[in-house]
Formats: sequence, structure tokens, C-alpha cells
Amino acid sequence: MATKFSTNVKETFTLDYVKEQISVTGSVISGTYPEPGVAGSNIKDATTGMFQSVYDYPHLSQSAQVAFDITYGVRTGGEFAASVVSGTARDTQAKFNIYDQMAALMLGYDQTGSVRVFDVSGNFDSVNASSVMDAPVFINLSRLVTKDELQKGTFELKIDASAWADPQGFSTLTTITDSGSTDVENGLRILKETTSNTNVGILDRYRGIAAIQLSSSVVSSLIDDSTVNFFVSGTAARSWDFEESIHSGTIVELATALRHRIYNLEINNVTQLNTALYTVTANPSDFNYSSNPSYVDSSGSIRVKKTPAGALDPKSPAYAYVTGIGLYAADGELLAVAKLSKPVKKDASAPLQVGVKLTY
Amino acid sequence: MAILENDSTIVDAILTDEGRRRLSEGIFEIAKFSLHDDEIVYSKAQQASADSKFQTTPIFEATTDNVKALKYKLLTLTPDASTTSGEYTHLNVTRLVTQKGTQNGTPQATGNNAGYYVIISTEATYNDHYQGASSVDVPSGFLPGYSKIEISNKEDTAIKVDHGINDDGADSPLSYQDALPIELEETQFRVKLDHRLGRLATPDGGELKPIFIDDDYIATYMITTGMGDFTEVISKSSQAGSPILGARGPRLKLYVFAAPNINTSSDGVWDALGRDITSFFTNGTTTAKAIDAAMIVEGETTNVNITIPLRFVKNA
Repeated sequence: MATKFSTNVKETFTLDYVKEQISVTGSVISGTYPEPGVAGSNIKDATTGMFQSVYDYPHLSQSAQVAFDITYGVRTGGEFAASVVSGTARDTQAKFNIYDQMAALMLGYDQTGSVRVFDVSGNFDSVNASSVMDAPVFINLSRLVTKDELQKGTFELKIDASAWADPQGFSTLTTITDSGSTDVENGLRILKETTSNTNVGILDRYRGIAAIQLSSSVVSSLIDDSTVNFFVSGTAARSWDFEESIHSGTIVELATALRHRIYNLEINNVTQLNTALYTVTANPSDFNYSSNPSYVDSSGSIRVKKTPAGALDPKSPAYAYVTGIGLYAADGELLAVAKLSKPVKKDASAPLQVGVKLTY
Repeated sequence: MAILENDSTIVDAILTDEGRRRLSEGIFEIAKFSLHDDEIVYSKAQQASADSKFQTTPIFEATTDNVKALKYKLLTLTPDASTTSGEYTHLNVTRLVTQKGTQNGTPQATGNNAGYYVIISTEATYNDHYQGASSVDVPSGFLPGYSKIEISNKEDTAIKVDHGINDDGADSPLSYQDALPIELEETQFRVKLDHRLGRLATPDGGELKPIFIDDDYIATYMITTGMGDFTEVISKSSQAGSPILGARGPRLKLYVFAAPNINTSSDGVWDALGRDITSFFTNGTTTAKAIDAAMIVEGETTNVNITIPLRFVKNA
């Protein structure tokens, strides 16, 4: 029986992972483009004041994409909590709310129903004064950057821990990374500062969020709490150390302070690809003729059986060339298409087997 | 559409739009495959170094439209028992039957509508030009598609397609008096037509139900020789009874009428998909709204394949 189809299809499924290195240089984060509120800026303060976003191009550009957001949280009852007087323009509690929100999302709740606490040791169930993160900065990488997850050991943030300068001199670079670190739970990893190999924060690989405690009260090698200017604003004559900044600065001011210190941010993201491999086999006797209108002349004579002089050779074996493969549903609808890179001759001398890889 | 590199063996596989739709609905399942040769033009088979020329043919990237992505399927034929080699020398040729008289065909339109079957899509349009005191004769190739009753079961309103071996010369394996080999006789015809524009009527005046309508509104109908007056056996008594000179398969008859979307006084679909043609009619309202479409007929098992141009019209 003549046919145009074959059911000789074998299907196998595999998972592939594609890794991509992303590097955001400090000049994009501050320096190349104007500061927020100025035309052409790639930095956008959230209208709520709850976070600041860093785009890859001026954010009003149609092609601009968010690279990451920066926000801050303060732990209720922590070292800085009592003196916090500012959060956003409308909400002095904003930093507390951000902390609780991030803790609930990344760490969850304990058996009493309270949110667990960020702690650089990885013990989130109790407050340890020497390791608890009382005022972490959160760097929330966009889904475009994170993709499905961050590859283990590839987060690297280089910042300048010295006093505020504009532009920042980047004379005392400190590297924060999860390279060589350990897994904690549910995709969380400890972030370390490489100079003294001390713990400085928590990375959520799956959500693409880094929580980093910049305060020297917990991590002595980072920014000094009370002797070094963390943020200086020329317009408002604000000159604050880290502790004062946490007390009195808004979230976007704190975000600006960190942003100016970032020398480079690098990660490798991971995308999971589901691959179905359909192995199609055409037996030697299959698919040796074609329904291509040019396969026959106006009389119906098969052209590939004709000699250069135009005579029909009845014994000449039929052949056709394959350039594409269609994968069909049982009802005959075309669901997937594969193209060969060059035409392959199909005749009765051999079978043809092709693996059609469908990735989605 | 870029040309693929051909210095490495790669297979570029993508989902069609219909494949994506079915994947999203959880009904994606591959059941069979076909091989295609859309880029190949076999007329160079008789040139010197033909194999080399075939193998260096540039191949295009895959496209996602499930109707247009692949056109021509390769065929599997069981060996021809009438020859020692089992090889076929001829395959089908597909032709529209357009001559009245001995062929009993339906002519296509002429003049500015040459090559088209013109489907008159509203009754008001038909009456304006072909009914009443100042009416004129219905031109050749103009079909009363405003009504499935009017279009159906009439010899002069059916679009007819013949297939067979179009050879009565020395090389011909079979004359018009012979039966077409069963491997070449098409008994299942797949017809594709834009569902927004046209529908197929059954010979008794009903509407044929498509087997599916894809995401581009292309309806697919399956017509078999077991479905009554959709097909007929061509008489072997006269060669002139068909445009096919040699052995013939069954004749396919298609009754096309305008879909409700365009069989209306509203101009919405007409303006969105078509255009106005001035001096289209010779009497009454002379400007017409027109939408061109192509009806594709493919054999399910053989190389029957023809694209039939249709022009849906109504008064502007």
C-alpha cells in the first residue's frame, strides 16, 4: 500500500543544561550612565521607594532589561533596629518589612510561626550575636540573568570597602563569592569574603538572591560601621557611616551607596533544557519516490529514471533526496519540522536513520 | 530565511505553531514521520553530474507554520508487480478538469480572473448581476457560492480534479482503457481551505465537517471514494473524457461555498483580508470586494497534489 508516512519512530527524553556566564561591570552599575532621575539613566528607583533597579541600558529604552534590584532589610530587635528612622518617603518601617519578606521567602518560618533569621553561619533558627545579619543588603538578580538557577560557586561580587568617594577609587577591592563554599539548605549557600575567608552572607541559587551583611560588627573585613563614610549626598549634605546610613538613609540611598562601590558582578546561570530525541528510520524500500511536482514531467514520467538524452530507463532504480523531516500527530497535523544540512539521497540500497532532536 | 551551513551534519528541529499549541494543551504526541524534498527540483536529474548538483542544493531553515513548513512528501510504493524490476516508470499527474462537453469539466474564469474559480459569495451580488431584466449570463468559472444548496450536486458548479498517468506515447505503461495501479490510485483526498472564507458542501446540500481547523484557520477535510458523489469513476470508453491521457484514478468533485463570515452584508472580513476591484462586473454594481485564496488538494497516499486558486467576491 502506498504511503507518505512511517510510524518507525523511537522516542527518548533527556535533560540538558546550558550554562552562560554573565558579567556586569561596575561602570554599568555606576559611572557610564547618569544617576536616577536624570534622562538617560539606567538606574530606576521604584516609585514605592522599596528598591532600586539596575538596567543594562537607559531604562526608558525599549530594549532595556533589568539586570538586578538592590534593597535593604533591618531585623526587628537587631543591632540597628532601635534607631531606624527612615525607610521610604512614606514608610519608616519599610526596611523591617523587607527583611521579613526576604526571610519568609528565602528561609521560611520556624515552628513558632516567626520568620527565621538571616545568619552568615547558616543557622537560621536562632539569633547568634556574632553571626546574625541585622542589616543585610539584598541583590535580587532578574530572571533574565538567573535563568533557571545560578551555577554553584560562580557568584562573585567585587566591591570597594573603603570610604565613600565619587567616583569610587576601587583601591581596596573585596571579593564576595560562593566559590569553595558549602550548601546549606534548599539551594542556599554561604557567601564568603575571600581576603579573610569569613562568612558574609547567604546566596539563594534558585531564586537568584544574594543577602550580604556589609556591617563590620559581624564581618570585620567589610565596611566599618562607624568610622568610614558609607554614603555621602552632595545635594542633601548627608555624610553617614554605615550605621548612620542604616538608621537614617532611605532604601534607595543605601542602594546607591552600594552601587557606587560595586566593581564587578559575575555569575554563571543555568538553563535546563528538555530534549526529546526522535529516531526515525526509513527502510531501504521506503520513501524512494516523491510527490514533488518536479519529480515527474508533464506525462508523469519519473525524471530520475531518464537518461541525459531523455530516454526513460525502466530498470533504473528510483531515488529521491531528503531535505526535511516532518513529525506528525496521529491525525496528520504537522507538529515539528527538522531540516537536514544537506540533501541526502534515499534509494533502495540502504536504510536512512536520522535523530531528530527537539528541545523545549 | 537564512541558508543552513552544509559542511556539518546537523538537524534543525523546531516545533510548528500547531505543535506549540498542542504542547501547551498537553496533547503533544508524535505518532509518525514523513520525509520531504521541498528544495529539490528534479528537472536537473538529466544534467551532467546530477548527483553532485543535488547534493549541493542549498537548504532553508525550518519555518514554524504547520501548513507551509513542508510541502512535498516522499512516497513509499510497493513494487510494481507488472515489471520484473518492480520499478515504476510513471507517477500521477494531477489536473483540473476545465473542459465542458466530453470531459464534463468546469471551466476556470477568463480575462482578469484567468486561472481562478470565482465564488460569488452573497445572494444579493448574484441577483444584482444574474437575475432580473438587466441580467447577463453567468461567466465561465463564476460559481454560485452564496448557497450550499445552489452549489451542490450540480455538474457545472463542482470543481473537478483528475489524476493518473498522463502519457499515451511509446513509454506509457497503461492506456486510458487500463485501470490505474492500486498503488497510484488515490482514494483519500486531503483538502485544505481557509475556514474564514470557504466551506465544502456535501453533494446533497449539507456542509462537510472538517477533520480539524488549525491555528491559522486552515480547515482540513478528508474526502474518500466511499463518500458518495464526491468522487466518480471516469469512463474508460474515451480518451477525451479526461485531461489525463493514460490510466486514470477516480475524479474528485469539490463544492465550495462562502463561509458565513463573508456571506453577509458586513464588509468587516472583506476589508480586513481583501481588496476592491473596479470594473469587476459588467452590469449592476461594477466594483467588487474580492479575497483571493488557495484550496490545496493532496493525495493521502500518492503524489496527487494541486493548488486551486479561488476568488471570493461580492458587490462593493
